[in-house]
Amino acid sequence: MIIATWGSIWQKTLVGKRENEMPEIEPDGFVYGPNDSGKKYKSLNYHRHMPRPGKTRWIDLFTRDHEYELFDTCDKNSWICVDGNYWGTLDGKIRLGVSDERFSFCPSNTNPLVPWHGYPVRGSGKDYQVPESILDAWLRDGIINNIIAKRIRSAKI
Amino acid sequence: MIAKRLSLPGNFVEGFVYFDFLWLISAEGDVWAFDILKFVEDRFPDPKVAEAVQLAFARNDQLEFGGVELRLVPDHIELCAAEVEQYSRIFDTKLDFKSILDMRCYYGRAFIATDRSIKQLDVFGRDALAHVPSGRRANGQLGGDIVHDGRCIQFRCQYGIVSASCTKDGGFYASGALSNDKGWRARFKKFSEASFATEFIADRLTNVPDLVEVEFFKTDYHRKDAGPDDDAFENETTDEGDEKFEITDVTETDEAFGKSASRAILGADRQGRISRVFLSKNVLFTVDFEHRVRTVRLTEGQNLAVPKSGRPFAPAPGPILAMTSSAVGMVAELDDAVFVLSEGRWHEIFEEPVYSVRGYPSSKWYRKLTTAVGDERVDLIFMI
Repeated sequence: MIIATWGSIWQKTLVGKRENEMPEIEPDGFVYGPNDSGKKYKSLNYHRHMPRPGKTRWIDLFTRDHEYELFDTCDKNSWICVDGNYWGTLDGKIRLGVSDERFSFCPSNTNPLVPWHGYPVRGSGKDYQVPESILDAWLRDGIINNIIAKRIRSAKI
Repeated sequence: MIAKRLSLPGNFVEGFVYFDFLWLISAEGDVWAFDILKFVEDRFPDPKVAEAVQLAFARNDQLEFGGVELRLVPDHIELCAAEVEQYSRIFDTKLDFKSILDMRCYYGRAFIATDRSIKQLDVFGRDALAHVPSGRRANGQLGGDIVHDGRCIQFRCQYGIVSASCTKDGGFYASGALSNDKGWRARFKKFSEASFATEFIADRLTNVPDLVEVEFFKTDYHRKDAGPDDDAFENETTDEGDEKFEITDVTETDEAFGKSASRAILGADRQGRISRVFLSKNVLFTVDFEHRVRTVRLTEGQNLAVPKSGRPFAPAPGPILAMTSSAVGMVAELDDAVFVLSEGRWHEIFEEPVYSVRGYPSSKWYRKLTTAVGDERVDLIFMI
């Protein structure tokens, strides 16, 4: 479980990282996994240091390892919506992307041969709206409180 | 800046000042009408102090800056939970929600936005509430109909129109809200494909369809026919006498003005790094990723004018989640506190995360008030 301060996230992430597991480096990104449920995850360069128009970018402080761990946290906690997308957050406050994104979004992937990928999103625009089932799960798991849930529902964050 | 504060403990999720009452929604879905005037009369036996406190928290248009009254008002008035209950009428409205997303009282009606619908209730002034004993629960008194299915995140009520922002479902409006008919119910019509905020600016209904986009819709803004009880809701009347005017129809987008405003918004930051826009009366605010706020002025007097971007203010102490106006400056909701920007500096006015914060810039009586609803208390903050 990722804990909601940067210090503890660093600590938890590094402690929790599988020490004998290093990502596989490919031309377009780093491939992690498979995780306990057999899923691989690719941290894509164009959401990092090789930006493309229209692609959101993670902040540098949120490393590729963090990115993978957040995906793994989504998978373990079943933060998956009816459309098959994974939604993640640290606590609804901490910024993950360079444009004030606080949530991660991993689009549905039904091909087990293709690694998952993800990118930071905002819930305050018209493109991404955190589903109610995900908010319920985050509240259940103690990731957010009722004030944060209200802020997400009212597109403040 | 001078701030005076009335603090009410309790698990409330929304609050709105209307006709000497602070209307509150509890976490359980009850509506409480806290009687500000009655509480003040009983708490302060000295009539001069009582009058000053009443003026600050219920009729602040009559309170002069630097006058005798203001010095008589204690800086912080705290209630206990028993007092909040004692001075409240509690209505068993059984509102069904996960989150209350907005609330507006307008012409004797309350519009309550939740994650699943818009509900319309009746709200009353002092005379109509007289039959409900203070400190008691009352069932079924406020009525309550669902007037729109689906999530709504923000209302604006002016000129007889209720506008509702329903994010990706669209922007909606219901006209005829000045009706004296007790059976009037809002019937919403869609005017925009997406809406995250609306505001009436000059004779336009202004809409935010996405983070940094703004649309302006033409309306049939016109002088209202005089009615038999135009004075019945004096509180609605703004200093400009806006409620002498009415809108019954929202017609088409004013694309030319929209483009002009967009240029001013994006031009406010040479690198196009605007995070979002917020609407206010006659201006909009742009906020960049360093939390700097700029104003884009949209009017001169009562009319639209060429949009003009101002110089940035000092950066806010964190990301701005919502903004509202107050008599002393813009009020910003941040992650863990509420700040007001007054005389170029940010001042903390509430030190906890809030469910909501709202000013009353169009109100005649409450212009100098801001309400902040935190997890365990509600503050009514008078600022001058």
